[in-house]
Amino acid sequence: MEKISAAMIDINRAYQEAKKDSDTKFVPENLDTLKKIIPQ
Amino acid sequence: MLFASNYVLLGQGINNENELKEAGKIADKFFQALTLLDQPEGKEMLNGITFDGNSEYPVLSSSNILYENLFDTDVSGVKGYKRLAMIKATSRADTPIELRYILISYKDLTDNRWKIFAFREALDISEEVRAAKSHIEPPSSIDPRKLQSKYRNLAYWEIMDGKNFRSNDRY
Repeated sequence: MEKISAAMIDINRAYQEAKKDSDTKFVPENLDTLKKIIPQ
Repeated sequence: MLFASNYVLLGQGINNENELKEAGKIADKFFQALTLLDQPEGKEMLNGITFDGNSEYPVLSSSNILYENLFDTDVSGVKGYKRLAMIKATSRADTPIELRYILISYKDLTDNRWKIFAFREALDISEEVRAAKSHIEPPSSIDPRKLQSKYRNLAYWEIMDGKNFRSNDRY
């Protein structure tokens, strides 16, 4: 099980939307930041 | 007579005081770097004290701290640090500007050091979270941005706010 925050969920949603738009430039940089802040 | 719970509270108080000191030191270093940002030394000073190495910041001529403190997030044991400051800088058009700025930092658990998450013009973060949500549900017809940008924006403000860190178990 992975701990996930509301912000992480929204970044994942953004990523899914980017995939739908075929946006290969999408970089979920804040997701990496959150993983460093929230104990996993 | 002190009970065990008092010792726990006392310990937490000392720990918070130390964390505030540490976070404040990094914020001071960050402000110092911004006064030198037009020099390579200033850019070098930013290494390792920000989460995002690509952000652009103003070159400061001076700053005055208005407020600083730790704030709770809704993940147990995770705190954020907030500083409000009046900054003096020069705009790209060479005009002197004086603005209230907000700095948000968190501790990076990978190296146990406080790092700057954001430094920007001060505004009401809770209101920004509310506004970002309102652009998603119900879908706003006046906001032409793609849904991915809206979710990205909401996530950014949730991190700034720290109150939307609530942990859920994900499969």
